[in-house]
Amino acid sequence: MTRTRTALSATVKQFARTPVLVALLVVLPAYFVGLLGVVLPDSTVPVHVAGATTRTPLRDGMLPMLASLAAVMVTGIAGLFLTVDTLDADGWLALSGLPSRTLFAARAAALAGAALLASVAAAGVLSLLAVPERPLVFLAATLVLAATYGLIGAVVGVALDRLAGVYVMLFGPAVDLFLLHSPLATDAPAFALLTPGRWAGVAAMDAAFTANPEWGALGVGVAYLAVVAVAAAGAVRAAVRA
Amino acid sequence: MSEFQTGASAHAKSVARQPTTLALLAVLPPFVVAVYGAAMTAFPDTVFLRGSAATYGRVGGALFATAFLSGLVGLFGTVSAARADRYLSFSGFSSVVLFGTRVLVSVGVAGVAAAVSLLAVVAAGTEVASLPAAYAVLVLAGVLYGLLGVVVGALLPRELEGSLVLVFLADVDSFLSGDVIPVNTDLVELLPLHAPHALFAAAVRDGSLAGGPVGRALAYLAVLFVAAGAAYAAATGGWSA
Repeated sequence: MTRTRTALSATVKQFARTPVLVALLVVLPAYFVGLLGVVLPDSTVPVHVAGATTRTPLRDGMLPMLASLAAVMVTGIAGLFLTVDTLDADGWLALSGLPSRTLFAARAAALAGAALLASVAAAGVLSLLAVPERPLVFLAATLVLAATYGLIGAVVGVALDRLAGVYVMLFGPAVDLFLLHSPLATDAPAFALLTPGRWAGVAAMDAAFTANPEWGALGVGVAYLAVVAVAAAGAVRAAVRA
Repeated sequence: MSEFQTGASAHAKSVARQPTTLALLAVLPPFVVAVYGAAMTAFPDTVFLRGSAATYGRVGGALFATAFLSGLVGLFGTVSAARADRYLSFSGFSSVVLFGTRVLVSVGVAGVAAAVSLLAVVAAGTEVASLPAAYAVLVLAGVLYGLLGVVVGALLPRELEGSLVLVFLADVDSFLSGDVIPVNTDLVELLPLHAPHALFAAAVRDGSLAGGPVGRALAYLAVLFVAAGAAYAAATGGWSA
């Protein structure tokens, strides 16, 4: 077994040892999307996607964004705690000769698993209530966005403690997706271009509402994920070595 | 020093000893108020918004920032101190006093977060008709979430699981309690921030604090106080006078 697989196996076992956590990764996004899907009304609202405006029932207009938000928040907080909880142990493992990039790869792979679980749960319940035009593209974009926020959570975990980190990982995605890049919103402030929601988030909304997703935005979203992964790897390695 | 002073001092120190918590209290509420205010102006077509969208955003931001911060302090305080409180209780310390001092510290945290949030609302240019009424409602919202944090922390005694549950509760609350969207059910009135949101908006708009929301908010406070007491007793090994 390679070192990376050993480290990944240890991380997965750490998750699996707490079945409540694994259940929450699935149940919370499903509950969030399901509950809001039931209570949101059918009154029509203008939805702004792909440079065009259409009118849809409010539930159909908001639920895709809320599904992405649910997956993103779960993964972001999982990334935060995964980092905070393993930094000490990783410091000792690095001292004993395990390369820190191997440790980071293992943690990132586990986080990708959490992102996949949460994204599938959220998109699955969404499909029962408001089927996206391009379900697989929606799932892929949501997964990219969730993984991005999972790694941002890892960076936040290096910089802040748990309490501050949870606060940031609640408000960050909520402001990004619910306020700045909601399909009901127009004229987002200029700084909104810098947030992950502008790219993978917009791609997810396009996939939800149109048959022609914005591949360029998804591509930038993937590039954004790569940049955040490099930044997270650097931050975690620096913290492990400290 | 009395048991009460000792308990209050210990719980207060557990909050104040973390510099990031103090920094959060000072920095994040203004940030949330400003961003909510700016972002809400990007919803030109939501005709159900009455009045200034920016003001509406700041009102929601202040309420949510205060409540969630207090909730997190309640949650993390309960999770981290449950074992210590259990030992203190075994050694003869009154668990009633320990719970009372924890609630007192929650009120203190809510008071600070509320003051900072309200200052941020005023500094952003929103005219507040009655500052004392608005402050009282913000503190009330903070205490409600502080108690909710105690309940969640006692039921899910690990920080990650508790945080996830509190985040999703708070998000649904923030999304639905402001009556931004006319939802299909009256059950939204059961959300913790529903009555405080109506009260805070009224305090900002015309300075009044009257009507059904006052009774609902106080009833909610009483229910959460009892629930938090029961959950705390379960987490720390029962009550001792």
